[in-house]
Amino acid sequence: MRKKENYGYLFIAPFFIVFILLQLYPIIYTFYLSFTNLSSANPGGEWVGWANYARLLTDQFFHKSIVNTWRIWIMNFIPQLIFAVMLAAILTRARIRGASIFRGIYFLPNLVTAASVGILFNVMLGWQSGTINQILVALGIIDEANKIHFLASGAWTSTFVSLILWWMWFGHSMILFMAAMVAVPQEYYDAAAVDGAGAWQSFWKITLPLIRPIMIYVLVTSLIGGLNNFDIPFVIGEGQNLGTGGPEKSILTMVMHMYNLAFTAGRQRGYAAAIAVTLFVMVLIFSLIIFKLMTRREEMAGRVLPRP
Amino acid sequence: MRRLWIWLAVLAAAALLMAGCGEGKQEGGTITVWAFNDEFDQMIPMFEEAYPNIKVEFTKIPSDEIVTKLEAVLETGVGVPDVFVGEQAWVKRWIDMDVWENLSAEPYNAEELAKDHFEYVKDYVRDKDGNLRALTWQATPGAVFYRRSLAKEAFGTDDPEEISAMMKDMDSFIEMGRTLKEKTGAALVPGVNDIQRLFFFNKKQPWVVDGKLVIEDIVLEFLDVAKTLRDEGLDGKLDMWTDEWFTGMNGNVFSYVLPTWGLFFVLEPNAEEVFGDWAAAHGPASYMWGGTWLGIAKASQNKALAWEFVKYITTNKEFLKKWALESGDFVSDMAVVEEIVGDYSREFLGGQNHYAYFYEEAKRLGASGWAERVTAYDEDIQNSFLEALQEYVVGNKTREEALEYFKELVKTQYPEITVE
Repeated sequence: MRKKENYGYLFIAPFFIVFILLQLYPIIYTFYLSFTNLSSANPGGEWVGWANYARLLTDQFFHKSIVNTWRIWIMNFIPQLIFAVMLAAILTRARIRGASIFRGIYFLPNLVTAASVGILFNVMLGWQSGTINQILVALGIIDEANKIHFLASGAWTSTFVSLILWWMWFGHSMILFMAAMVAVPQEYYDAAAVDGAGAWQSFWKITLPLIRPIMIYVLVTSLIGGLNNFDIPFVIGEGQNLGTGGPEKSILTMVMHMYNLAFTAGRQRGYAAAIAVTLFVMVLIFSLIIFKLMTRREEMAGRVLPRP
Repeated sequence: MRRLWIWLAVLAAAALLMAGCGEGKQEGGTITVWAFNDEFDQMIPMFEEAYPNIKVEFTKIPSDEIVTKLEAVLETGVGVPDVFVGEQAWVKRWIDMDVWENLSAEPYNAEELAKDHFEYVKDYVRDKDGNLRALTWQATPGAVFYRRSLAKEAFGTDDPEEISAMMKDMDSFIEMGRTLKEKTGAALVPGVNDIQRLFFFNKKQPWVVDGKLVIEDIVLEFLDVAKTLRDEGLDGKLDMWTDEWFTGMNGNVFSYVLPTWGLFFVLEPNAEEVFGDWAAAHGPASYMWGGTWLGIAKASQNKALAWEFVKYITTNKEFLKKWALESGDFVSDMAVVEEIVGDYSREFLGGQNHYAYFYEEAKRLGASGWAERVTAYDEDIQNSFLEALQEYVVGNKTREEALEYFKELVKTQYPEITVE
């Protein structure tokens, strides 16, 4: 009998071996590295205690990267949420012809690779012969001599990065919300209609509360993705003479700063590891806060409207 | 009886093979080579034809990944290729890391084999004790390529000698820009970053001396010239390597500051509409840009075979001549250059002899002594400088702020450098 029980361990072993070798060990090693000064100047990597963490407090680019990361994420997430919920409601509740075609079209940007998006927007945002500038000139909004140098302005560049992320991700969130909305029983709406509720009231009082679990999921995954944001700002910044991070370092995200320090110039692996650990702690704390806040509301909502 | 003949034949073959070894020829084997360059697709078959007993296993890695990949194997010491390349921007890294064999020493004695190479291509890859750590088959001197038709219109001549004389220093170069703008409306250069090498190669000291960052007047001048060009509308406002920058070649831009490979791989394929309307002039400073060196890994188990490969590609005069004639590449060996320089005439350059031009430029470059001033930090420091310069030129920062920003960038990337 005992022998039989042990088979279980054997079957789950492959996962744990891979997990320990490829995930747990690197995570622990990163913690260790963050206390050393490993870099191309110190290939041996001596123990420096908390020095790397102390440096984080004075690294102005790191501070900037935190602000940038949050700004880019929030400016993309709020419109993304609004668009995704609205479109999901329209496509599920209203009977629109070709709803599945729209669904496909909205989701499409999510399938394009970051590198292609980077090239596409670099062409669109170009200065002398960029698409947007040419359109503005053709419409007579600006004249030939005053073309806007979008990618030299921190505000424009950061806004466009948020816009790209919104464009790439609202379709994805929309599909998740649609799945949640389809699962809401039709009886609720019928009952509400009998009681005289309009479409708007049904949406606020029935649809929104019932898709809240999915909203938490979307919020948490988007937050984690947002804090780890790297590829889009990187490809947008890469094509420019202003170097990675864009004009005035306005699209330098935390992960990009870590990448730049670890894999370019001085190869400061130790210090970059300290950034990675800080980022890890940050994601952990904010995810926990969101879970706590949202599950409490979930319980309250549960009392108002018990799920079947 | 028949069997006996076969045995005799085998013995004879073995004897021949052994005799070959006795003469110092290598036994056969396989070597591994890592590079990003397409050229090796043609070079390696040429080598294998000359050395049928050596097989080359070539791994091509994209240029933006190769440094990280090589660092990974060099740090762990596992899977290090026998031969790997170093590009101008990062070759110093390998020399500082001390991962390449010393080619000046026995058994290589490369100094003698490379005695006809341009001095600067050797100086660039010497370690702090003056030993050669790598060799190259090419030299990459620079030029200012300009449009003949625009030159005629603005300056009344398109003769490379006369144009070179006109742009002998930076002030005259800017003055040409003003004339151009007035007479033709054309931009002097595509953008402000394009002229960086005309300043960086005029530096008199390394960027870092005794661990301290040195900001020379010449780089401050670059800051001011760039601002002047942009404010007076003398540049084309085109960022390097963007689509617009390539389009500018067929448009309203007078000159492109590019080296040898820039002619073959950048200008000629992209400036088709104005083919033949170009010429090469000596700019306000002699510079070089790019180029790839080959070195033998200290960790290699096949050093003798690896050396045959490096030796053949970089110092075999017959190969270099054949390579130069086939590809048009400008080779590192002066004797070979002398031999073939005679009657080249490049159609794209309106019949100008580009080989003679580059030969002259490479000799001037060697005399400027810049190669000894280069450090492993240069590429990153210069990129940071360009980043700060752009912020200044586009008006995001004042001159003082831009300089502070530059120092801050250097400090962040290299905490070990003292910045004042």
